[in-house]
Amino acid sequence: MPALLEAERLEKQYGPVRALQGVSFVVEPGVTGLLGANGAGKSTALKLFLGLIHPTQGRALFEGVDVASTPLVRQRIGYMPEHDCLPSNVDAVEFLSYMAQISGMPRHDARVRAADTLRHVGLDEERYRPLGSYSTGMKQRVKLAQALVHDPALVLLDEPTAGLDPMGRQQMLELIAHTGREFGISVVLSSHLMGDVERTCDRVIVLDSGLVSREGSVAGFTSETTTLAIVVSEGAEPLAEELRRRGLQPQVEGDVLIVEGIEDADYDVIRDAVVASGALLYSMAPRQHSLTELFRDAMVGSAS
Amino acid sequence: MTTEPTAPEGQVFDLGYQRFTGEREGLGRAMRAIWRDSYRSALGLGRSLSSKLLPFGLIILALFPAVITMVIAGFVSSFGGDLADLELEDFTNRAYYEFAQIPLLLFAGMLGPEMLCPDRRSGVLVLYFVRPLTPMNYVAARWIGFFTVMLGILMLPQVLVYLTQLVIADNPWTWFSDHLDLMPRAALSAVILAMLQTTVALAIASFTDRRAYAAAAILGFFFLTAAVGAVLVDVLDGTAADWWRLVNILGAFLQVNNWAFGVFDGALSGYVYIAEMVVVIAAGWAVLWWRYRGATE
Repeated sequence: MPALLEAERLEKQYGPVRALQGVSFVVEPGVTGLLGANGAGKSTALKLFLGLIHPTQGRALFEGVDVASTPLVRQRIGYMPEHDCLPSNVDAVEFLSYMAQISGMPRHDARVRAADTLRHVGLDEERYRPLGSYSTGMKQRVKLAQALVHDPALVLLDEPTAGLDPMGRQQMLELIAHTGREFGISVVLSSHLMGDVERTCDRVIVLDSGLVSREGSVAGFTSETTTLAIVVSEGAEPLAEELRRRGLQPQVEGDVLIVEGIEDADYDVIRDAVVASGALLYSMAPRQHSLTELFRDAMVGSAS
Repeated sequence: MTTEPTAPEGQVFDLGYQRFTGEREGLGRAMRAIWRDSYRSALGLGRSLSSKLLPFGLIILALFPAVITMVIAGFVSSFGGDLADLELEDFTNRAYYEFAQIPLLLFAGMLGPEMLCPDRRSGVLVLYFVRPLTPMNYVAARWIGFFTVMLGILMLPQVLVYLTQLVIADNPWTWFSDHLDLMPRAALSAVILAMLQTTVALAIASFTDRRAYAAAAILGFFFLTAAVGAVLVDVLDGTAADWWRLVNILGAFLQVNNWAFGVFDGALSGYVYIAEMVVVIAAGWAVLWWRYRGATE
């Protein structure tokens, strides 16, 4: 069975700029994060998978079909753009029903699904009000709803939490997780916010300057290495010095020393170092990697 | 996330998310939906009352002379008056276009931009192109939608003018059988005029996302070509003037109109005026293609 989505040595060149440098990856069913800084090639990748732009080299495949070969593959893909894309003078039900029909859905089904989809994204009372009167959070829900209204197998979401307040962001992320897990619609979520990806995604693909810098399951990423946080009430620098002498590489952040890649034998080394340096130990506890750190490492790695 | 309901009675069922199992109708459905949206937004249907004022005001204007003449003729004949006194010789399907192209031009100028400008201004255009259609499918569906309205507005008064002539004829049956070709000729002329104005209006509207600018540019284009044509004809004479007269596109259409009704008397060959219509329409389509070819990027 072909993969849900596959990039095959995908390359896109805009003049002298290579937005994607021949990347290959596979997106499995589920919720996948496409993580990267601005300009990393996330939007370019999404546009290539929608067939909106054509690759300079390579192919973008949806269920084994080259998306550049026929617009019909888009009957089963939904897309939520980052920017404003809603008309102001029509109501939500009419707009969604229209969008469903443009995706090829018969008119009656389109109307029924428009109302259903609005309920799923939490818009019920407001659905007969013109879209121009909606708040940012509500508009964002309508944008998500239009990507889902035609019951796609896959939705591509471009920065879905952009411009939302913390509450709205939380709700949007829950809605996205719900879409992937309860509706059985696969999601590709592009974001520059690690928190978004960490909270919603099963898998993550990190793009950096048009290349895939890392990929794997989010759970694997956050637990593959153990990090130890040593908190001292004084003597952080002398302790760091002792640890370095003993072959560990701590990072000092105020009163906290972070040591990565800890193995069992290292605990004895740390104990000796604490005694030797005379630092006052407050606490010592392992902690999981957050994607933030992984991402920072990836960025540092590419810059050097 | 969901928990199994355990209450023994009075359960509320959430049917949850329903997958769609019906048939997807692809490009055909998409084009029909855009076509329907196009004529509805041109006429203000499903919109506020104020957005219906302009389209229906212009439709009433286009119908006005036909309705008035019909009513007067009806009165005169039912009170036993002599219809010859009304001097209705000029009240013909052909002559009606000389009047009707003005309200139609206002309609094309003021409502044609409605087809393309709001979609680009609101950013909704990208939502079309991530669905199973291409930019040219989209433009074609918009064009057909507006063309449908324009054709309707032209044909409605034509039917009234036709019926009025039929009713007031001395012998309606004879008049009918003598004028079998009249409605096909009227329809041919209507199709050409509606294609011309629809294409020019949409081509100009493709340059801006502001409806007001587009409206001014469309009306300006037709009025300016008419004025420039008239001035050129004034300062030149002879055969050159006949050629320069072609700059007036609406004037050239009236020659095509005469040709369609079989009373052509232009200075140049009839084919020249027809060729001009073809060239203008083709140029409009070339502009639309050029403006929308990279619209997905």
